[in-house]
Amino acid sequence: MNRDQITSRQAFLILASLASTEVLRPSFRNFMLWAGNGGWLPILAAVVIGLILVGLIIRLAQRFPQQSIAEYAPRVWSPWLGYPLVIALAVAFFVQGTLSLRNVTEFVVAAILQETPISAVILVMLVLTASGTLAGLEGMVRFNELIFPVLIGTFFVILASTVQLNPWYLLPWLDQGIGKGVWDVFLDVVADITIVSYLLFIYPYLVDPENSKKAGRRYTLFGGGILFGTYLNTLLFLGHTAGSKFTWPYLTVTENIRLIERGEALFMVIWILAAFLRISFCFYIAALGLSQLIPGLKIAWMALASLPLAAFIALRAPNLPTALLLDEMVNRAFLFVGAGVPLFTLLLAWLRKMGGDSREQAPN
Amino acid sequence: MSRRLISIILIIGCSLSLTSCWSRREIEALGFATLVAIDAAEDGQIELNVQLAITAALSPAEGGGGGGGGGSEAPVWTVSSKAKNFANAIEQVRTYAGKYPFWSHTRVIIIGEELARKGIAPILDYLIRNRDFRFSTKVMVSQGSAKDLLQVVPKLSKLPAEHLINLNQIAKDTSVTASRTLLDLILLLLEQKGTEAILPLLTAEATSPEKQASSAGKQGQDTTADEGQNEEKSLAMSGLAVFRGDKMVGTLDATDSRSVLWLRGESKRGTLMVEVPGQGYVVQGQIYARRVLRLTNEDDRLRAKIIIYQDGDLIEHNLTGPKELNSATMQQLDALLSARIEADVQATLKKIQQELRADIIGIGDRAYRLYPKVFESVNWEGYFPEMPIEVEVHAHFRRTGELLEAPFASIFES
Repeated sequence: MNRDQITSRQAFLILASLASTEVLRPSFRNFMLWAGNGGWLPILAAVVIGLILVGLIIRLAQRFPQQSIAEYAPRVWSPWLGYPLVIALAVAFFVQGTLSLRNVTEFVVAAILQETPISAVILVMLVLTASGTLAGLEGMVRFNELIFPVLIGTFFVILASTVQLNPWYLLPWLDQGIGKGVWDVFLDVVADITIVSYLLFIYPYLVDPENSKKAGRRYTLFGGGILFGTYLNTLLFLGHTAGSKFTWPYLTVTENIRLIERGEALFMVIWILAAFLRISFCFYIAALGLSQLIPGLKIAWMALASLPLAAFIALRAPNLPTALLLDEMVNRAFLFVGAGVPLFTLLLAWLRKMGGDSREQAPN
Repeated sequence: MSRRLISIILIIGCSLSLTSCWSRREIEALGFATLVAIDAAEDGQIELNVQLAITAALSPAEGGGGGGGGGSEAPVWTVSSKAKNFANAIEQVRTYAGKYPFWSHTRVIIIGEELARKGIAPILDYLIRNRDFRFSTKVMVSQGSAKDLLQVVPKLSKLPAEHLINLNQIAKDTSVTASRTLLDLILLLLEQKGTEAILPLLTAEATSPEKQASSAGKQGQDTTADEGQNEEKSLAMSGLAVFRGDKMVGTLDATDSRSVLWLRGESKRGTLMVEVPGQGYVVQGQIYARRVLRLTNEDDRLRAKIIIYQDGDLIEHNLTGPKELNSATMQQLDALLSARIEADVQATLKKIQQELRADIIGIGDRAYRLYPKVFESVNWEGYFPEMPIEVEVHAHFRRTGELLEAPFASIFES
């Protein structure tokens, strides 16, 4: 196994970038559609709950600082159950990657290349993604370190330039009720944050796993903050009814900022870079997870072999509304797999007193 | 070896797929639309007039030394088309012009009165959906046909669109009308619950007062085509077009528009004359104005109170009574000023509630935000016209310019 070594900070910095690409997902508009008047409340609640959930996963994962979830899950659950669960987790990352690919491509086609067939853009994105995946963990975290300050800078520029924010949208009403206002938003937001479970695959690559708790807390909070900040900015600018009408509400916000004329063109480039990182990372984690389960499988070859499958899945939806529906469904499924599998695996390990100071800690 | 091979394949793949934009459009193939005028045509069609900039005529060398003044003809070419929908009308413009209209430079969209009265939602759909149109484009309504206004050639600006932007800005600064972009309009129609839209109203008026008077006298009479053409006209902002939903339901003149801007808290500057009984008049140059909207709910009956705070300078007077503007005099003038503003605002409120029946003040949206259940339980369109709205005005003269005493008062009196 090629063991690139990265720091905990680098590993968690990825999360903040992944959270920022949420703005490119058309389902971002659903937050406003579901939340209705006072929609910032459920999203805040969902972000907080998501952060607590992630904090719990990271804390429990400290019991296995030298091991990947692919290594300890079969021991915790028994191989019959452990292997399928890890495969499900890896596949969930792969599907997340393909749907992110579709979303970003839809964005690129609609916003920049209207006349270009979506299949052409998907193929180009896949070629670029392949190079990202082949660069490996170290390559991707270094790329992320480069773009991260620019990415955060764009959010601050947009926030500072959005002058027509309406504070009346902050009144604490929930006119869509608990069902739509909280539960649906909760599912979507928490699913976005729990993508942090990728970390459980790369624990063996951390040079300083003991720092992961501290770094995890800081950058997960940062990721949640970006998500909440972009949502609030959009909501206070467009409002929940108008915001839910646009395909990419945050794009509409950037089209109307005051500080920079045509700033959205610049932001698009930066977001596409971040999205490219998200897709590459999802594919890499999927390949890594499977390679950890099946010794001898090379990550690079597996990642390359999965690209045609990714293109196939990404092109399944015949139109944007279908892609949106698929994205919603998969995102919710990911909540249960991406958060459920790691959480219950780690909880069971804790109950069975595996890992930590016990003898189970020693690598096989 | 494998890594090197993969790298080579990736580089070749990228080189082949990222060579250039196959769907490129050269700048020569583009026609830069600066102004769009949309009218209702016969058989439910719309008439689209697009002013494309003649870019060669805009350059200093062609323009005769680079002066900013316009000539007898503006450096634009107006292309017209008629179709059932906006997309088809644009398609036709493209056919006539032989260029792809480039909409990002469109500064102004003028909607003809007839079309505005029929409803603007269908055309807004295209404008919002199409990424080429900028949300910062100004939207206006013409009194009468929008196409007719395009015949008026501005004297001090090269492009009519630029002239309209300047006109709108000045009219907004002097509280003659409001300024609305495409985004403002969308947010008003979609997000501001119960609140109706207002758009600046644009007219073509005779340039001199005599001609204005004569053209007013000719209303209802036939005029020959020559007379119509020779009459020198200029564009002007004359007030506001009021909408209910997406349909225009009436207009407000400059005085009423100023009151609406006070009621909405959008008023900036402007001058206001106050009659002082038996003594003459004073003129205030407004410096500052804001409004506070208070909404109370008593047994699911909503009541609104609007408090207007207004400040300004005394910029002119012909008062014959007081020699010096002392504190007591200023207080009396403040009271008269407040009464004048309150009278104007009450008259406009009556018009808005009883004639137009359109909540253009924004009370409905505030009701929705503060009391969503009460708002949902009433039909706001029916509730607003009957709603009790109290107005309170606190207006003040703050400064008197560089004079405290009228310099010629004693001379005139003697």
